[in-house]
Amino acid sequence: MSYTCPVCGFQKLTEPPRSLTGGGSSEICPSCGYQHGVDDDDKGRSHAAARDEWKRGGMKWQSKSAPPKNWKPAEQLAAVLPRDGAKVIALTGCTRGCGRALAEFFTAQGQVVIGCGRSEKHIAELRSKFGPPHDFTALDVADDEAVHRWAERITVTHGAPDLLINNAAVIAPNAPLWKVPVAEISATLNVNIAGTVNTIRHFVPAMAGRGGVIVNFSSGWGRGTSPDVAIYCATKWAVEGLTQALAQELPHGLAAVALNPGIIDTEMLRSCFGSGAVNHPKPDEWAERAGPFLLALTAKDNGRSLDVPGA
Amino acid sequence: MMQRLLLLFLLLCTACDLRAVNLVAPPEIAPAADGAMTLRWKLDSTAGGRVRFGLAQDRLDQSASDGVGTEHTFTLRGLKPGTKYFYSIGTARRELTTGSFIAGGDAAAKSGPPSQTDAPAPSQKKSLLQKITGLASKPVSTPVPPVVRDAPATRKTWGNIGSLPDHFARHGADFSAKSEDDYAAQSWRFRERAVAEHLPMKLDTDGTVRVFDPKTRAFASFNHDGTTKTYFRPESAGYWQRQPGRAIQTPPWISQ
Ligand SMILES: NC(=O)c1ccc[n+]([C@@H]2O[C@H](COP(=O)([O-])OP(=O)(O)OC[C@H]3O[C@@H](n4cnc5c(N)ncnc54)[C@H](OP(=O)(O)O)[C@@H]3O)[C@@H](O)[C@H]2O)c1
Repeated sequence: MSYTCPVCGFQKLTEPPRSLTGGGSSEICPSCGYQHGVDDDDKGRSHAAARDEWKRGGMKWQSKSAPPKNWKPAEQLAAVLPRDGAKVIALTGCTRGCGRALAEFFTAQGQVVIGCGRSEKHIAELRSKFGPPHDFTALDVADDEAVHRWAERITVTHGAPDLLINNAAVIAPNAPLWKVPVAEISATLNVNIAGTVNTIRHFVPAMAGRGGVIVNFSSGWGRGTSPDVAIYCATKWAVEGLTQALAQELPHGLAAVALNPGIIDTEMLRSCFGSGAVNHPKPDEWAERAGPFLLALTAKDNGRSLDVPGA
Repeated sequence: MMQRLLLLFLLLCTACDLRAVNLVAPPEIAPAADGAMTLRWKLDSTAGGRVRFGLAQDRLDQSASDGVGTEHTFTLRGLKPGTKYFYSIGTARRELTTGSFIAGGDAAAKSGPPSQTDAPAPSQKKSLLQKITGLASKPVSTPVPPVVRDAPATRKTWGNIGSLPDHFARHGADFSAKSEDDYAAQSWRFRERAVAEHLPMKLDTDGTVRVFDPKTRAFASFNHDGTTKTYFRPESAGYWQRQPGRAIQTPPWISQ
């Protein structure tokens, strides 16, 4: 198995430059000399800056070992260069459902996707499907320290995101509030509210001053209610409230919006709608509408409560 | 009368116990042939010697005793190389000190004097037998220097040997390493010291172990089998905090 250097596109690294949880491999790319986990985490060198420096130096082989036969630096580089004008999109909960469909949509569009989710298996799959410049990390958004590390690293390697999409969420099994196990209540509060707050706290300082949009996934249950989903409703109403207040706090050039995605046939929907979920659009269909809508959001949308068109 | 004699006897026994036997110096440990380890210590008065050892501090399931004297030497055989053992030494009646060591095997091979750029300066001149870290060294309160042994061959300690020249070129100067082998040997000794001194360690889900010494600011990353990935001195504040992983006490290459 070999891996691609996100700086120069060299395709024969012996390890993934980042472990699934985001730890640097410590490998020194023999082609461009970038040491993953050191140049970024210690020296604060972005991939783009290191790439430019390497290009300016004539794209020379950096290792003391010999380059492979027919080594073609310009060709390898082309594979990892983001297209001109590509947006850097930080997307939580990209392993399944709506988040996964958005990751597929954005990568196909040539945007740069910085995704996370808890499942290491799915993160590994996404990595092998979408190599650099995309970046996928296994983490729990409720873990503030992990989100901090993630945001700090991404801000160094890729720069602050243009779009931060807080999509990750969970729902407790349907039951009246007093019958929901306390662990489910905590998990729902921690992921849906604290998880959203964590990414905002750790990405916004880098986003401030250069513009960007924060999209917090709400729900029809963030504006109305139903029985048996009280705690989920509470979290989505909280998301609406915190987005409104955040919009008033953000510096000029940044926007926060709450977004109701509509009703989509995902695992989450199956959990609350049961077999009725199949009557709703599939995530990839939905992403064809939601993706362009998200990309078109600007600072002018600050403070709005929006719905994905056709929802 | 009989009762008085019994009382006197009991008093004498207690007095004997109060006049406790003590170690005159920390015990010494050294690798011996065939992966065995030698433990040696000296007492301030004559007593029998007893060593108990095992794979966990609360599971010292092997033991040996010898005769009465002030000097005691035991050679522990049948150890698993590279494995951490815990021990307790003392007399037949009393534990005098406890500690741990890593069994030798290949590690015992000698290949010139080790350089100690990263480790704190040893406070005592070492003999052929090295002092070991006491976990609870009762008679000696001064800190005991860590295990210092010669590193095995570089090809056994460095993970991706083809990458070593690049790592040495980039980081060798951080430790005044004289050669690639010296740099690799220093990283191996850092690994040993990390275990002996309980330096902060984090285990990533891919098996990588990252180690940091806040005092010397040395950082190393090791593969699951204990071979080195890199060894350097980070410059930025918070580098260690930025590393992911679960805090661990014992790295995976030491089977518990
Ligand atoms: N589907 C609908 O009809 C509907 C309707 C209204 C609102 N929404 C909202 O739309 C968003 C997406 O929902 P969905 O239907 O796609 O849900 P889903 O199919 O259950 O997917 C949820 C995603 O979030 C990730 N996730 C969950 N907990 C996480 C955590 N602690 N840390 C990181 N990632 C986490 C999951 O991945 P891992 O398990 O790998 O972590 C998964 O990728 C949610 O905010 C939901 O509330 C959905």
